[in-house]
Order: sequence, then C-alpha cells, then structure tokens
Amino acid sequence: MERKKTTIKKVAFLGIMGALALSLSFLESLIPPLPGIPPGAKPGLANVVTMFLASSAGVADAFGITIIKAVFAGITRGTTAMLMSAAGGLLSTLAACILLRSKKIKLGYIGIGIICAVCHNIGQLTIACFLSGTWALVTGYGPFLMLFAVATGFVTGTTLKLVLPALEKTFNRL
Amino acid sequence: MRKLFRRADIIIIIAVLFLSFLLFIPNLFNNDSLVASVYVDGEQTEEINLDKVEGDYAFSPKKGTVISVKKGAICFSEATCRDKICVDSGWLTAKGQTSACLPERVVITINGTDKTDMMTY
Repeated sequence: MERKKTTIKKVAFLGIMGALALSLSFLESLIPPLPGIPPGAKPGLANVVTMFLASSAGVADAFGITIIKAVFAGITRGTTAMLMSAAGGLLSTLAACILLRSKKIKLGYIGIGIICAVCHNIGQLTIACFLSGTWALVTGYGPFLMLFAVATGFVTGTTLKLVLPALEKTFNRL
Repeated sequence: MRKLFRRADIIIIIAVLFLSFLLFIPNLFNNDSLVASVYVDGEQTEEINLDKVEGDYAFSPKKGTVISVKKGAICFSEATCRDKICVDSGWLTAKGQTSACLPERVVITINGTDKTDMMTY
C-alpha cells in the first residue's frame, strides 16, 4: 500500500518535471534573435530539469522526459525540430547521467553543465549535417556553438546547483 | 553534494574553447574573395562570388525558399517553415558564416573557392 502511494507521487512529480521542461523550452523559443548569438541557439534551461533527474531521480526518468520533450517539439514545430531535439537531448542526457552519477569524476556543476551543453550541440550539429546533407555546417556553426556552450553550461550548471537542494528535498519526501 | 566549480572545470572550459578554435581554422585558410556556396539536398547548386555581384537580385533554389544577393552579402529572405531561423540569421557578409534552412535542406555558406579545406574537416 505504502509502496503504491510512493509510485503515484513519483509519477505526479515526474509529470510536473516534464511540464517544467516543456514550458522552459517554450519560453526560450520566445527569445528574439540577438546579434552576436548564433541563430537558433538557446540557453538550454530545460537541460537543468534533465540534469536534476539524471542526478537524483534515475536514468530512465531523465531519458523519459527527454523523449517527451522531443515528441512535444515534433507535435508543435515539426519533424525537423523533433529530430534536432532528440539528437541533442539524448546525447546531453547521456552525458549528464554518466557525469552526475559517477562518484569518481571530480567535476563541478559548471564543468558538467558545459560538457552537457557541448554534447547537446554536437548532437544537433550532427543531425543538422545529415538533414542538410553538407558538412559545411561544422565549420560554419560549430565554433560559435562551442563558444556559446561554455556560456550556457555555466548558466545551467549554476542554476542546477542553486535549485538542487530544494528539488532533492521534495523528491526524497515522495 | 558536488561543488559548483572545481579546478578540473577550468580544463573543460579551455578544452571547449580550443575545440571551438580548431573548428574555426578551416575558415581562415580560404581565398580572399567572398564566395558563397548554396547547397540544396546536400548538393552544391550555386557558387556566387559576392565581390563581383552587380545589382541586387533574388532567386529561389527550392519552392518557398528565396535567397537574396547583393554586393558582398547573401541571405535567406523567405522560408516556408515556422522557425525562420535561416531568415533571422540575416545577411552573411564574412567568411565562415553559415545559414541553414533544415526543413527545406538548403544551406548557404561563405568560404573561399577552395573546397578541399571544408571537406577534410
């Protein structure tokens, strides 16, 4: 009985996390194109959600939310957006799971955030090259995406460190 | 709980910055003239020397997609998709700049005439 109750609470919590990830990625899409920032590049705040799930909830939970995010992108923005979201999301979630769950890796949240952002961009760039059929994008977009990943990784890592205690407290009470 | 920032993070930052620089190198070894290449479905369809363009013009490499060209610059001016990332990229005026319309599989990139650099990386 007790066990079942916990599961329902966890499902509800994961639902909230999924909604949070979706609304964060929607909010980011409202940011207008700014000079000096590669077009289409976003801070990746939804990554904070998957990073939290990867570190505190479980690998399956983190990947589940990532897939839901990609499907949502597919429904609202089309197949291209879905493939881009899936490629970036799955690769960065994989990195988050490995780095955050390992006790041996001596990296801070900022370092992990940057690696996740880089993995996200590498995944998206690879899919973008396959979709467009040209590798010119690697040198065209790549350098700027990597620079931008340092900034976004810094932001997501810091945000994760700030919200993690509160989220973990809630999650452990479920 | 982990620390926010550790010494190893500096190595990560330097490595990523180095990777960024490494990816940018091919853009430095191009010819002096600004040459824009247009790729449709992965095949190069146009090669425009932007320095020699006289008078503005626009063309459509694929239905719904319009590319505008003027002296020293090229851009996507119309696209069919919702995101409009390619149109928002604005005018490409310098080497190494790229704009892509993924739904239509059209890519514009500015490089020198030498394409071998691009292919090896």
